[in-house]
Amino acid sequence: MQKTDKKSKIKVRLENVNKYYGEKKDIHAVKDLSFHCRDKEFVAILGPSGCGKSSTLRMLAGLEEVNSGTIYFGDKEVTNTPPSERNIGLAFENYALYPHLSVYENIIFPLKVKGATDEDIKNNKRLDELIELFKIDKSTLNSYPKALSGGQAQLTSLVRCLIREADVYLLDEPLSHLDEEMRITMRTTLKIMHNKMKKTFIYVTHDQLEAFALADRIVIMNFGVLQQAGSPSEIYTKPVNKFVASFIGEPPMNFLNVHTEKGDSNLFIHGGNYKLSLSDRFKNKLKPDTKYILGIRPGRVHVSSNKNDFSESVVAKVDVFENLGEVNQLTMKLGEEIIITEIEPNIKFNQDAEVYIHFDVNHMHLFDVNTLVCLDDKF
Amino acid sequence: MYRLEVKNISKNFGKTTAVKNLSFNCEEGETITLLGPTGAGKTTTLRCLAGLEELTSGNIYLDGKDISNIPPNHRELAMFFENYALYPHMTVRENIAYPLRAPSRRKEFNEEKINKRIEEIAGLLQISELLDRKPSELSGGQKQRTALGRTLVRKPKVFLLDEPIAHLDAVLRHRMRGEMKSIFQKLGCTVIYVTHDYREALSIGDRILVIKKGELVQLGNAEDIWSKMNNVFVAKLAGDPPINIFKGILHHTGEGNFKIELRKQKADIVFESKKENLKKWEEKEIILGVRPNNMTISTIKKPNSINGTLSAIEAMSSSYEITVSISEGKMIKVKSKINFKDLLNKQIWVNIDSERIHLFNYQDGESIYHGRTL
Repeated sequence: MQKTDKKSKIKVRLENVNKYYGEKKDIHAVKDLSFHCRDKEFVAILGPSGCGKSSTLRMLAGLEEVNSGTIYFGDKEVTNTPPSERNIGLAFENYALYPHLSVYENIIFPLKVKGATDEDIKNNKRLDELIELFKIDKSTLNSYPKALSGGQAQLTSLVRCLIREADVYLLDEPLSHLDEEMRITMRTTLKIMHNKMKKTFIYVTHDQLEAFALADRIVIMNFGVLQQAGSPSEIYTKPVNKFVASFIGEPPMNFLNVHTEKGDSNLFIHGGNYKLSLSDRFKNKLKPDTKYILGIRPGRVHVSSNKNDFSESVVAKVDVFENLGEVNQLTMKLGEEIIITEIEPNIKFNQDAEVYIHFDVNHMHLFDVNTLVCLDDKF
Repeated sequence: MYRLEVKNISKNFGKTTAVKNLSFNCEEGETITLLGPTGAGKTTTLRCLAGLEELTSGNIYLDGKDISNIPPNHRELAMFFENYALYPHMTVRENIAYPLRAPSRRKEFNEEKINKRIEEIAGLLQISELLDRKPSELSGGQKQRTALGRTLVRKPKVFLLDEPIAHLDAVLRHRMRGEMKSIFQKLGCTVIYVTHDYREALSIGDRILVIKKGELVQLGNAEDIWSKMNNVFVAKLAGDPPINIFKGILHHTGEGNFKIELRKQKADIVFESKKENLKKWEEKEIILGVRPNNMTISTIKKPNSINGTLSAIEAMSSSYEITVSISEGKMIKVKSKINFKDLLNKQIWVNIDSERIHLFNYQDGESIYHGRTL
């Protein structure tokens, strides 16, 4: 369900889970990971390759040993429970279809295992619905997996996962082999199926757009460590560090080097040439003589060719103007800094034009230059 | 800077026609993007320009000179392919210098000249600090820039690129898109750029040539392609999520007043237009196209609205894509600033901004009317 009912019970919980690889167990793939997933929630585990997200999913599935820590499904501990006793549906990036079974036999396999008769299968409404919604071509139902394209094999694997009556569905990049158009269509289809099935989904992806579109909550990982868990809007508006801030959002957040001067808590950008008028939140609270990183979303940077449009502004130069149809995108240079913003489709700028930039300081973020932690909460 | 003129070129492979009677001019310093779905003939067109494919018929002129039968290495066109292959054992500097060290160029380029050219190109591509690194020490974007450098170092008259950034991940691709545009502008070179990504095509191209089954469908600037599309094909090609399409009948209900009857959806969409020639489509079957950002959602019926069930909400960076199931299993997409999560699986109304609609002939999909564009 889309509703984030805070009272709905916890379905999956990880507590201080660790995973090591290598002969000497010297590769620490998942570090002290704790998060939970509520009943009927769609949770996406998001991160770059090698961040430990797939290892985490494989531990949830029971396919990978947990070196330390505990995993609960509901109230029951399942840390050492074999996969077959966890009542889970699984779909992986690399399909794992049975090569000796036809596409149709692969799809109905989970039903057969549970003892369904041919009659049961014939009357299974979800089967027809899944085959139709995920566009499994009827003509391929009798083919064998080796005859399928990567995309077709992935959709077959996904349907085989969803046909099972499971408590928790674990999906690892299940749309990655589809072409872009199909991937977007199937993303919506998966979202619709989740709404219909009202089950718990945990979904691994490296694609922030996919995570955003699908998930009720997103768990972001990097180098095996949980960075942040929250709803898409929480993650977008309140990133805990620069990694999360830069990983989420399209076009990405702008980052600028800023500093305060000696005996002064005013914030300067552009090598000190421009003083930002701070909002009350930050006013008089910054440490003097300190460097910060300022983060601001493209939508919070306003641009005009007329200085009088803003109470205060700084002059920048247009580097690239892009017409993208629905919006126009502007890349500007402010000294060494690059600033991107989105503007209305009826507004145009020429390359090298001088423009006035106004920063919506109410929506800026400040990051520590060393730890890269977001300091917003401190103000 | 050079002008490229393409006149009635065709390319057949056996009985298949890959490019059909294609004509266009690319002016000095202009960038034209070739946009179309897979198999439209974009790459074949580019290969014909490069001389890698023999023309079945037609001519290609560079600065007025017919180059149709000149071999690729004498055409002064440089082609950049999607699968760039950098030499792993060479540094960035050596990789970029490689084309200048060809035996045929030995007289033209001594070491001093080569180094000068490399510094110049590296500065433009912002890889000056990376010149002594090996490809394995570069990020995806840096590799891409190095490969571009290797193509640019020869200073070709015309630069041909085939999906140069398509295999990069979305974030890097979007960043490189702007960089590519900036580089072309700084070089001032004539560019033909193939892509299947409409954002890339609209962003980079001074003009966009839309191609379908080897034939030109529309040639125009980004605004033309986005707001004054020639037909349904172009309308569907540009837009994410794509334009919503409905079948309807056009009624003329009074002076300057029109009504589109959507029978399947049991809805009427009314709009005003002073365009005289619209009357000739009266009582005819037409296609109504509405972009997802020109629709809103409400819980009560309003004029120009369609009934449906709100079946999915997908969050984007700063907006939401809302899927609405309407009659007969058809789904439409609405782009909204509001989440509407409380309306999930409920009956709602989709309101169409009838000032911003597009109409097409049902028979052949050709455009018959565009509403306000901005």
